[in-house]
Parts: sequence; structure tokens; C-alpha cells
Amino acid sequence: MQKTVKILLTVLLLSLLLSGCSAPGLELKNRLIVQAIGIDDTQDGVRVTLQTLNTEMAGNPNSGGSLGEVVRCLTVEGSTVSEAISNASKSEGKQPLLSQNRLIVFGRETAEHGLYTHLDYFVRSAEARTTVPIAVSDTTAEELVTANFGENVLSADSITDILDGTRYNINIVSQELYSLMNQLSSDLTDAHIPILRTQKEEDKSSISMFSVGIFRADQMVYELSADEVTALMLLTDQAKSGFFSVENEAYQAQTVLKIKKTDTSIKSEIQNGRILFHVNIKMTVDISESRAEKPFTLDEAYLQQTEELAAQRMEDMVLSAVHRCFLEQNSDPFGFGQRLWQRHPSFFKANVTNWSDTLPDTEVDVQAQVTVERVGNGVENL
Amino acid sequence: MKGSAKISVWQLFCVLLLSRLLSTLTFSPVGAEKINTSDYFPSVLFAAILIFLFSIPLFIQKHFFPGKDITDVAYTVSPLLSKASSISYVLCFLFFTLVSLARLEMFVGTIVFPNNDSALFIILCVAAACYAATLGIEAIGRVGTISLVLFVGAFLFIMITMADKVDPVNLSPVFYEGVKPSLTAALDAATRTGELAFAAVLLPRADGKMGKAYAAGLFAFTVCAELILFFVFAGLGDFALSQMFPVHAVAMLAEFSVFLRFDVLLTGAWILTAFIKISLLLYMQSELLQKSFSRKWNKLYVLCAGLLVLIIQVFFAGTVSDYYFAAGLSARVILYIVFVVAVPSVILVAALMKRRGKRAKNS
Repeated sequence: MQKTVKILLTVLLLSLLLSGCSAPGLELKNRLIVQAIGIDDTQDGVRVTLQTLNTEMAGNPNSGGSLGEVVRCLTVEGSTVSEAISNASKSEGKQPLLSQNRLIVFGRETAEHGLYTHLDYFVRSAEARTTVPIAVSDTTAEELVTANFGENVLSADSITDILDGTRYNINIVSQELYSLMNQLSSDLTDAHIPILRTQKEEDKSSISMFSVGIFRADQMVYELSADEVTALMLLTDQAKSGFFSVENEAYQAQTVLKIKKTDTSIKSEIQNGRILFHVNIKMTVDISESRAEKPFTLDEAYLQQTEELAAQRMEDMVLSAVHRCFLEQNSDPFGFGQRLWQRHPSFFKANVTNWSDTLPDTEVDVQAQVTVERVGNGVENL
Repeated sequence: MKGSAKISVWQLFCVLLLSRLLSTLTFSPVGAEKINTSDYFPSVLFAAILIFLFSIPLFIQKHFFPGKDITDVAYTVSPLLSKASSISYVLCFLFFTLVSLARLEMFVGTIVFPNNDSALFIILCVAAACYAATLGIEAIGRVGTISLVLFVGAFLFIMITMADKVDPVNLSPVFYEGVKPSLTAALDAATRTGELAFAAVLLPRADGKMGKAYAAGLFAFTVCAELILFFVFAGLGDFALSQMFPVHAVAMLAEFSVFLRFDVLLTGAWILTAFIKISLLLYMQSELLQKSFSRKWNKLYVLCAGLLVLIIQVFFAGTVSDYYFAAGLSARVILYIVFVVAVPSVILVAALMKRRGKRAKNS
């Protein structure tokens, strides 16, 4: 009898824990399930554009178009991000749910003014994920977040798919919230965020990766070109897969190479008081395509030349990017300073007060080694 | 401590390790002195050395007074000293219960139910812990051992699924500001909770040789703490130092295929561990009160201790328990030194002197 009472009491107590969603306004049907958030500065504060899931449509996929698009966008304003987001409930009568948010976008102007003031809410909120991707819109965040990709297409999904392309394209960079916060608060590494561009074609829009914005403190100050983005990927050891091409004048051929594996190591050295970085890139590639006016056999000489040309291309790309960032922009988005701090802490403490002031006197040498592993099915080019 | 139920010394050190790991899990740099991330790694080794040094009274107790807990040892000096030490330990354990519950409430209120009042959860947790405490050390020992396996499993899974986010570039150089920050962090880590005081009370309830289990426990703590901190700082970098609960924040990075938010695994392990620690503390308070007062009211003691903790937490939270977090390192070290080192040392020295005096008289 006593045992039965104990079990009943336990079940009764446990049932109290089932009340998680019973509080007013917390049921899913009463929530605005946010998929993407766009943030633009205004004169009085901030304009937040929310891309939300149309739960009525998502719950009734066979009901046709009567329930509207799969996503709904709404724009709200407030003096801060949290105030603007909470204002969404005034116009929609639903409380925003951020735990499913897939993307945070900042408008170009906002990124140039500074991001710190807008990020605290996402770091502090228990609902927001710290791995959420961050992007900058080439125009306004509102334009990117409200972009129409076609009927029943989750545009937040499409945008994150583009950013996910970093796994197989060496011109695409992605940035997550926690990593961005680390870079923004660092005195040594300048933060980078991908910039996306919206292109409108009649009723539909398309979005593509435009460039990468580099930040000093929390303000976007300059952009990287496509080759510089590849250099950034190589120097942060993220260029794991992708394609690039080299021109072989002797064979009058253009060879497209598919990256299979890349390993970049950066070592710092102090030589007579000067800071020197040795960058070593080891890359394994396959020949994806060889385009020439006349057919020829892919012989050993050709393969060796291809390897040398590819290595030269990598070295030039990295040196050119480093030169521009270090000398022209006085900026280090690659994390060289962090490595120097790690490897030579006593030198750093004694000699470096401001890392960016040291950049013009810093030397970087690059050694790339490219190995062609496979040539594909065709021994001759076609 | 007289009682029929016993657990193995391995089970005891499993429960104590779990209790210690809860403190690592709830590690919060917010409000603490900011030190470079890599300085935490040597601090764990220093903390292990400090814990070993603080364990000397425990070794003496086990060697010279096997089968006796610290209040039994005090009884050999004077019954009054035994009663006084029992009550002081009860107060100390009551305080540790409050601290554990306050940390749990802070975690639940901030992360799990940020939009709801966490009072209901706390009431349920204390009710369950009271019930577990009345079941005795055997039940707590068994659940503690299983929970340790679950805890390690959950954390291993999280480590594996977030391994791709680990980047040693995120780490700072070691000892960049000298050895002092690491030593301070070590003292903080070693004195964070009083597992050695728990062991001084629970040792007679454990069968078996203590040496191997103690060494394994200390080694496991060092390895687990190093691994946890490595994944936290190599994964999150300095961002970890801006988070209220960095271990939970790093669990949020764990992703596998389309599955996200594995932090729920850690949340489960955290709540289970806190429940076992609170149960253990309530059980020890009941056992010690039985020594000072009547033995037949053991369940009433658990209930009273649970109610007291609950009332303080629900109605006076922000005064008692927050004081512990806000008090700073020196206050915590004093509390630790008094109950883990000074009180047992004084009792042991007095008991040994009295024993020697008796032997001299007899001879």
C-alpha cells in the first residue's frame, strides 16, 4: 500500500513538470518561429526584420495557397534589438521564438557604423544559438531577409545553404556568432563576415556571395576580393575543398584543379628583432578539366608543370592578400598576431604594444607544395 | 558513524567525484578575476596537488582511526567536542546544500526555463532529494555510480560531436602573466566544494582500502577537468569567459548531421548530478544529527534540513547563497580551511595525544 502511494505521489509530482508550454503565449501556435533576423540602423534606433515560419501553412501543406507563403516577414522598430523584437508581438499578437533562428544579417551601413551594440542581445539570450551564421547584406538587411526565392521556399534555408558552401568552395567564407565575438573582442585578429548580394529578377530574387567584409574593432572598413578570400581560407586552414585553375602557356592549356586536401601551417620566428612568419601550404589536387586548343597527352612534364604553376598561384595569392592587408589596410584578419602571441609570448610582451602598428615591418614567406593525385578518366585532354 | 548499510570505497569515491565534477560543470568566470584561458590548464594540476595536501588529515584519520568518522574521533576526546563538531559539520553541509541548490536554480532559471518561475522545479528537486536521502547511502552510492557513467558518456558524446570546432589557435600562451593567476585559480578550484569534509564523515560507511580508490578519484578528476576546460577554451576561445556557464555554452556547439542542441544531454547530466549531491548532503546532515540527538528521527532530520534549504532558497535567495559567490576567494578559502583542514586536524591531534597519554598511563 505504502509503495503504491509512493509511486502515485512520484507520478503526480512528475506530471507537474509537463507544464513547460502551458504558460500563456508559450504554445507553439502562439509563437512567431523566427527563421532569420535582419538588423538595420535607423535614426532613432534599430529596424529589425523577422522572417518567420507560417505555422498555419507549414501545418497544412495540402491546403493550397489559401494560407499564404511558407514564410512571413515583418519589420519592427525599437531603440534596441530586444525592444524591436518584443515589439513584434504587438503587431502579430505572438511571442517571437528565437531558438530556431538560422541566420542574423546586418545591413551594410549598420556594419560600417559598428556591430557591438546589436550583438549583446544574441549573446545574452538563452534561446539564441551561438552557432548561428552571421552575414552582411550588400544593401539593407531588410532586403536580404525579405528576398522572395519563389513559392514555398524557405529563404533562410537557401541563404544558409550558400554559406555552407564554404565546405566545397574556396571563395565562400562563413562566420558563426561565437567565433565573430572572439574576433571582435580580439586586439590581434580583425573579424570577417561574408557579404551577400540580392539580385531581383521579375518576381523572384536570387542571392549570391559578394565578398568578405573585414572589421576593425566592430566596424566594417574594407572588403576582400575573391582571390583574397581564398587566401584567407588558406591561412585559416579552412580551404578543404574547391576548384581553381592555372594557365599553362607551354601547352596552351587551362587546367582546372579540384582541391582534395589542404594543410596549412604557420610558424613564427624572430630574426634579429624582426618578426617573420613561415607559411607552409601542402595541397593535394585532382585534375578536374584540361582545356586546350589541340589534344595532348597528360604526361609527366605536364603534371609537374601543373603542380609548380598551382603552387606558384597559391603563393602569389597569399602574398598578395597579406601585402594588401598588412601594408595598405594595416589589418590582420588572418590571425598571424595570435600565433606570434602564442609562440613568442615574452617577445610579444616586450616589443608589441599595438599589433597593427607592427604589421608593416612584419615579413611573411610562403611555401606551397601541390601534388596532383589523380587525372580523372581521360589520359589525354579532349 | 555506526550504521548497518555500507558501500564500497570505489562507490564512495564515484559519488565524491561526481559531486566534484558538478563544481567543474558549474564553473562560471563571470565576476571572477579574469585570467588567460591556457592558465586554467596548469591550475587544474596545481589544484590536484592542493587537494592531495588538504587530504593529509583524511589519511591520518583512516590510518589511526579506521572505522571512525571525524565526530567519532572527536568523541574519544570528549563527548561535548563530538556534539559540537557534529553540529558545526551539519551547518557547513547545510551551507553547501544551499550553494548547490542556488547554482542549480541559477542554471535552470537562466538556461532551461528562462520564461518561467523556477520555484516549482526547485520544490520538486528538493522533495526528490529528501526522498533519496531517506533511502540511505546504499541507494545514493548506486545511483551515484550509474550517474557518473551517464555523466562521462554524455560529455564524451558532446566532445566527439564538437571536435571539429576545437582550434588550438583560440588558446592563449601559458603563464603569460606569470604563475600567480594559475595558482589563484588552483586555490579557487581546490576549495570550491568540500568533498574531503564529506569523506571525513562518510569513510566508516565505505568498505575496502582507500588508497587506490582515492588515487583513481583524484586522477579522474584531473583528467576530466583538463578535458572539459580544453574543450571549453579551445572550442569557444575568450568567448567562454563572457558566458555565465561556459561548459553549457560549449555543449551548444555540438552538432551531428541534422541534429542540433545536444546541450540537453549536458542539462540532464547536470540536473541529475546536482540531485545526487543534494541528496548526499541531506543524508549526511541527517546522520550527523542522529549522533547529536535521537536516532529514531532520521527521516524528520532529512525533512527539516530539506525544508530549511527550500525556504531559504525560495524566499531568501540572493542573500545567503549569493553571498558565497560574491564573497570572493578569501572567504571561501577560510570556510574550506576551517572545515576541511583545521577542525579535523585539531580533533585528530587531540585524539592522538589523548590516546598516547592513556597508553603512557597504562604502561
